[in-house]
Amino acid sequence: MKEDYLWDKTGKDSEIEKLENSLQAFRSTNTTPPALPAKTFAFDKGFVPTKTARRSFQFAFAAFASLALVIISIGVFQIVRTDDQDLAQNSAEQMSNKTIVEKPISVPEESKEISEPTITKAKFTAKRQIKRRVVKDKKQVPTKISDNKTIAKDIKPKVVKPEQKSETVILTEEEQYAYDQLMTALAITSSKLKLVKDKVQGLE
Amino acid sequence: MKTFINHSFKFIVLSAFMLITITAANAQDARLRFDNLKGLEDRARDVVEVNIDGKLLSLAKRVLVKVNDQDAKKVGEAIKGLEGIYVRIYNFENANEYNIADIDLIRSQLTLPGWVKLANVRSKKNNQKIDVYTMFTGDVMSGVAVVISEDKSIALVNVIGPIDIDLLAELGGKLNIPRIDIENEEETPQDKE
Repeated sequence: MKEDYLWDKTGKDSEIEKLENSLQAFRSTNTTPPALPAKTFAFDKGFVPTKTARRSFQFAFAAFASLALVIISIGVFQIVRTDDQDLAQNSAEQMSNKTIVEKPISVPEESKEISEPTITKAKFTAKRQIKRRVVKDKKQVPTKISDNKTIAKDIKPKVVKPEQKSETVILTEEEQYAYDQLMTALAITSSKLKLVKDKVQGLE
Repeated sequence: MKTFINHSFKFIVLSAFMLITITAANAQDARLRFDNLKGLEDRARDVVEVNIDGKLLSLAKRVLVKVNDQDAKKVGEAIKGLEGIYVRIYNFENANEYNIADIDLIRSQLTLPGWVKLANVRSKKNNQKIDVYTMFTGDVMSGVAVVISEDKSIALVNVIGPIDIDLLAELGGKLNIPRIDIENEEETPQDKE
C-alpha cells in the first residue's frame, strides 16, 4: 500500500483502487472542498452593565486591591522585622561565639607529633592566630552590642524616667486652684470631724 | 404594632426622665441652704467660704490622678464618690455677735426626713453645740452635715456624696491635706495679741 496514492493519487496502488471501485457508489459528487465554519461568538445584545453594577464592581475591585495592598505591606513588614531580628540574633551569637573562642586556647594536635623545638613554635603561632581571630571578631561585632556598658546605659533611663515624671507634675492655674480648694475643704472637714470624734470619745 | 412601639418608647423615655429627676433630687436633698448666713459675712472677723463641686471637683480629682503619688491615691480613693463639699466658717471678735436663730435655721434643715443624727454634743464651755448628721440613700451614705456653733464662731460643713467619715477624719495633717486644728486656734499667741 502506497501512502502517496492515498494522499494525492500519485503512482499506482491496486489495493486502494479496488477499494475505490467497490465503494464508488458512495462517492461524493461535490468536487469543491467544504467551506470552514465561520467563527461565531455568543453575545447577548440585551446585556448592558448598569451603573450600580459598575459601581459595585469598582467598589469590590477597590476593596480587593486595598486588602491585597494591606496583606502585601504586612508581609513586607514581617520580612523586614524578621531580618532585623535575625541580624540581632546573629550579632548576639557572634558575641557568644567570641567569648567561647577566647577561653579554650588549645594547641593543635599536629604540633604534638612534631619534635620539641617545633612544638614551641607551633604553640606560639596557634596562640597568635587565635588572638588575631579574636581581635578580628571584636572588630566585626557592633560597638553597642559588644560593649555591655552602653547597653546598660540605654536601658536604665527607660526604667527611671516614669518615676522622675511622677515627681514633677505641671498643673495649670485652674487645676492648681481646684486642687487647693479641695485640699482646703478636706482639711476643714477633716478637722471638724476629728473635733467631733474627740469630743464624743472624751465624753465617753 | 407601630403604636405599641411608640408607646413603649415614650414610656421608656418618661421612666428615664423620672429616674434622673429622682436621682438628682436625692442628690440635692443632702445639700444645705446657707443663704440666710450672708448677713454674717459683714459682722464676722474671719470668713472662710469653700464651695467645691461639679467641674471644679472633677478637675481636682483629675489632678489627684495626675499626681502619681501614693498619698494622692489614698485621698483620691477616699473622695471617689464625692459630689461636693461646702464649708462656711465665721469667727467673731466678741461673743454673741451673731443671731443664734440663723444657725437654728440651718439645724432645722437637718430635721427633714432623710437626715439621721450621728452625734450631738452640748458643752457649757463657750456654749458649744455640735451636731453631726448623715443622710443615706439605701445603704449608701449620700451626705454629711456638721454644724458647730460657739460663742465666737460658727462652722458648717456639708459633704455630698458617699464618703468614709473615719478615713476623712484621719486624713488631716497626714497626707497632702494641711492640718487645721480648731481647738488650738484660739490659744495661739497671734490670737491672744
